[in-house]
Amino acid sequence: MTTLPSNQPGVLPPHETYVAAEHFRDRDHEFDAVKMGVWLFLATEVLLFSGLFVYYALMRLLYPEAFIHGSSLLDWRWGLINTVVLLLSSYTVAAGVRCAQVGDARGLRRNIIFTFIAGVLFLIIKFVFEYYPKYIQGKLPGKFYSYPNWVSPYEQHWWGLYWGATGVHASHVVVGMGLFIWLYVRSLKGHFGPKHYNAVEGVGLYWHIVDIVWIFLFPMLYLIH
Amino acid sequence: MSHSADHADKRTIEIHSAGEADARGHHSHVIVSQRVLLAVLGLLLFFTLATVGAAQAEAWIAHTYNVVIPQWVNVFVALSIAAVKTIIVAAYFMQLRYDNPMNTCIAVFTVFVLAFFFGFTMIDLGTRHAIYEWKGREVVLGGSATVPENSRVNAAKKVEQLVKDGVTPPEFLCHFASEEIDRLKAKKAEIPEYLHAAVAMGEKKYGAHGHHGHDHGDAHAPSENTPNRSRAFTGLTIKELMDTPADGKHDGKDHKHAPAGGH
Repeated sequence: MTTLPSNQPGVLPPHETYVAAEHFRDRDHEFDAVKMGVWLFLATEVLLFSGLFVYYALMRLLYPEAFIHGSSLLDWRWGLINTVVLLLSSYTVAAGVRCAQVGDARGLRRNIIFTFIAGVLFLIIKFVFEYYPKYIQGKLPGKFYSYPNWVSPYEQHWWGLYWGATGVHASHVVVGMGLFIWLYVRSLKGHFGPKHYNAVEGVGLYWHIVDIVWIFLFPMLYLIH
Repeated sequence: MSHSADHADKRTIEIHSAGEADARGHHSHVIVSQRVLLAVLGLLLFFTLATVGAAQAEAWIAHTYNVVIPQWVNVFVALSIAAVKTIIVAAYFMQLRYDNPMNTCIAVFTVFVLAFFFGFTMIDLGTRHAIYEWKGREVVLGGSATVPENSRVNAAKKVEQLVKDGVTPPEFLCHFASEEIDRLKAKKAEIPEYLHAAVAMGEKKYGAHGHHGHDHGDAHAPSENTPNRSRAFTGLTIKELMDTPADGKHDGKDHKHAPAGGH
């Protein structure tokens, strides 16, 4: 095991000696401010996805047959597996925050790894079992559409929505995974402990929003009958 | 989990509300217990299966009993279960329950903004056909880059032609209204109130069977109505139309007779 600040005898790990930034009264003030800042950012993320959702609502209102047929071409079982994977990852993130709160650095790192693996699994399922088959069958958005068995001439709208919504969501998952790598490295350096775990909390909140968006996307895309 | 975490599990959880502080004014951060987290996870998985089950059940009922279940039932059930899942994720996993109430306000405000976004958009786009029938619901494949008959571009061209023929601005309204009237007559539909004045003006100027001949050759009545087609704009920004009679730019042409040939 490499020599890290967290496991040198007599040296306090960084999370113990953390001092809040000057303009805050104390660590609690900084924690509250950071958390509120993250929530404000999450509000903008929700609004980002809501643009796609409004487009979905309108197009589904106008062309329901295109959506019903398009949804039947998706396999809801992969969607269900992805939903379960993301819910488990939400749990491991919350458990990781809890580990940081009680000072369990190993538990925190373990949960970060589990969450990262869940993200990888999500992306593998998405790209290998969903995106690639659709790509070779021509179920592509807009002008790239070339799948022959269409029911409504507006199915390009459906596929545009499918690829757009799940693509934006998947890019958020990728960003989240990068954040988890960052957290892991910082945890190795001993940055997180009961008195200082802002970043873990913040990334956890971001990951939960990603999960919540998928919670809405799953029935809206896969379960239209 | 490691031993230290197990011990931490068994100690008393401080269920402070966010507002409480100790003697030094420091708030303690609530640590959500493992049991609560696992219970929430269990609930989420249950609701996920419920969503899938409801969708499958709906499909099964529709097939077996040959009933048509309206779309909104599907949407309503799925969205309400998703809303419940979101609320428990936000309250427990994101710790809104144990947190500064301001964060809850921010989350609720976001939902409020969403409601505005959805509400007004759907009120507008979902009901365009209710006012003008021809502003119907279908969006033309290929988008509105295809210029429809009564688009602003074509209206400007027509206005240009009318100006060349010596028709003055107030009569443009009559001209475009007459197209609409012809279309309605072709469909044997009732002429709505707001066009009665145009009918009267047209009949006064050009007689009951007016100058509508020029447009019958057009097969330009829009076969598909789109929300993107608005009423032809009669060109107040076209230079010729800025001339008012008082400017003396009215020429002495005879406006009583219909422009021959029209379009």
